[in-house]
Amino acid sequence: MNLPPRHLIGLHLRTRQTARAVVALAATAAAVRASQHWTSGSGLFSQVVLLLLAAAAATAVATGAHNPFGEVERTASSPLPALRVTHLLTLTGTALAATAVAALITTYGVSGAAMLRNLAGFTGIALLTAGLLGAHLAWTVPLGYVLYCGGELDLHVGNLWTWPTRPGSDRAALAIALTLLAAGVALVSLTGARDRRSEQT
Amino acid sequence: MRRLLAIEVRHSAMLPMLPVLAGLLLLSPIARHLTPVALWTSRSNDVQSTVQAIGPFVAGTAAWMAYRERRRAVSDLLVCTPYPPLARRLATWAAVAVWAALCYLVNVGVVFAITAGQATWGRPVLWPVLSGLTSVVACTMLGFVAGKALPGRLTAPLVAIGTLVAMAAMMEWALGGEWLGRLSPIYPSIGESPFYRVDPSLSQAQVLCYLGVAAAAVGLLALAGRRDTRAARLRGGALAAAGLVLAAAGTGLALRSPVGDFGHFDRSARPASAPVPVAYTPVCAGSPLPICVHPAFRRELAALEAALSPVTAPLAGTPAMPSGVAQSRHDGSLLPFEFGDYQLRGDTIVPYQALTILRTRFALALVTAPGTGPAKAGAAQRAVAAFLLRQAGVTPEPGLLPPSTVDTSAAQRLAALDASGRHAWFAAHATALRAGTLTLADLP
Repeated sequence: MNLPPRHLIGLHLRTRQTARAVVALAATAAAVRASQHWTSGSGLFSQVVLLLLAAAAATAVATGAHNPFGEVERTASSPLPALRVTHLLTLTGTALAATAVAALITTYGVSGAAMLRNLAGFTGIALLTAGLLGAHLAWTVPLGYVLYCGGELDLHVGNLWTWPTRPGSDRAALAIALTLLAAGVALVSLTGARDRRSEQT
Repeated sequence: MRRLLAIEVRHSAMLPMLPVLAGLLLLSPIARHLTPVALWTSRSNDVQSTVQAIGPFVAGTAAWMAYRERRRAVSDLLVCTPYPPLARRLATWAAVAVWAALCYLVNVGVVFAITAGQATWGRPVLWPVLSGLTSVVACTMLGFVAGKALPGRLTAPLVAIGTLVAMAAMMEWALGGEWLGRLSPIYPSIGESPFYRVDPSLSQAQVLCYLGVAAAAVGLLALAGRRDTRAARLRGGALAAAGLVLAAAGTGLALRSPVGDFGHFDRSARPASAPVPVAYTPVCAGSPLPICVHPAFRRELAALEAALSPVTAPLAGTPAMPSGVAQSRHDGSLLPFEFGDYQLRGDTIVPYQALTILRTRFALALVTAPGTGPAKAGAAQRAVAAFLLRQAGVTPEPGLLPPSTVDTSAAQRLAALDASGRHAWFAAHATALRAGTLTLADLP
């Protein structure tokens, strides 16, 4: 498979409003840094806020998977999976880099490794949601999962079902997060975000 | 307008959200709090707190629906329709609000139906339910206004996440002692103690505040409509002003409400006020140690007896054995002891740590004067409490009874006595033990 030309990649990124998503990711990282005063403890509130900010960044990545052209895009001769992978990796890389900068500057109630792992995992969940339900609903499952993890934290329950609440050194949680990310990127790259019939032009 | 509303209700984006919300509520800690011991006040607070799951989703959905016309590029087309723009927008919002309210009320119905089969005292308290309902409606309105003001794909998720962050932040604020934080929809708005009459003042303040916020948002929506008539915009402005006044009134009432400290009464807020006790006849069970509780906790009696009777076994027949144990409020000569609202699995209190904490507190209460906290127990009292627990096969809770070599040695000396020797020792030293005048050297 030939790689698409650079100008095509640039056009594809523009149609996905990548610049706007990058600004949103930078804003999310800034929000993480700004929240440090309230999230430096290890209490329930600080952990839930950090999870919510990871979910917000993940949503910004996944909503960009929306296809503005509908079915027409699938008739193009360009290799769509390569373009989609480029788009997703650009945004995911930006999100991870921005979060890493925010995590390195100061300390939070959760370790930097855990924050990056959670971002990767939530991005995978948001992409899977976008692929199955549509980019416009990409925020629902990550938000619901944050609520579930918050409830389990409140009950002092910790297991692999609530992997985002485990320490940054937990290898099983890291494996789950990376698996979710790989699955999400693979699904959206191959099939794109699900288009609703009424959204197609 | 009714036809338009019916169309909007049938095609609302809230419909696919309902199974998601149902799943979330089933997985929430509240669903696991539906244990056999049911207090109507506690369950009423629980249904109010479900707003933390429902509110963000309905706010995000409302923001998404507000963006619909622009997303599908049909704004100019809809200008040609006979309905005023404000009526169209309100119909779209109303459809989201109807489904959101329905979801919340079904949740209330299910929880109250389960509680009706479990509760042994009291009746449903509706003020927290009303507070939750108005907060859900306010969430939909705020989400809709945000979606209209900032149309975009990222608005819905950011509104949803922002709603949850705001609720959690206000709750954290309240836990830090800031009284304005009690306006959070997830802050328990009534006291849960069955010993006192329910004070709905905070619930009422919350309802006023949320209604005011919703009204102000509707007014803003009307005020900002460029294609609406001047009269409609003026009415919107008036409604926004009225809403702000209502919200301010609700905030003022919340600041004056004595309900604080997570639903308990805070006398520092209104020193002249006091919680009004509710008369009740305690229910008792158990032998040789009768345990008496408020009728609301009737279902706990068997589990309490199973948990506490083994701890008192060495004291049977001695002056150290209480004539009975009474919950919280002093009932004559009975030993006052605060029982809580425990989770039960059959006739066993769960989780195991809660059972251990209960037994350790009780062992300390048996050997100290009423009102003496665990931290103030003397060495001899701690040693005897440790003995009582160990002979019942219970490892003391380290936070209440820290392990100590000296105390353990004294407890072992007591355990080494035969039954008659121990009986005689307790008969001779019960009063001094409880008064705290004994030292470790006084133990056998």
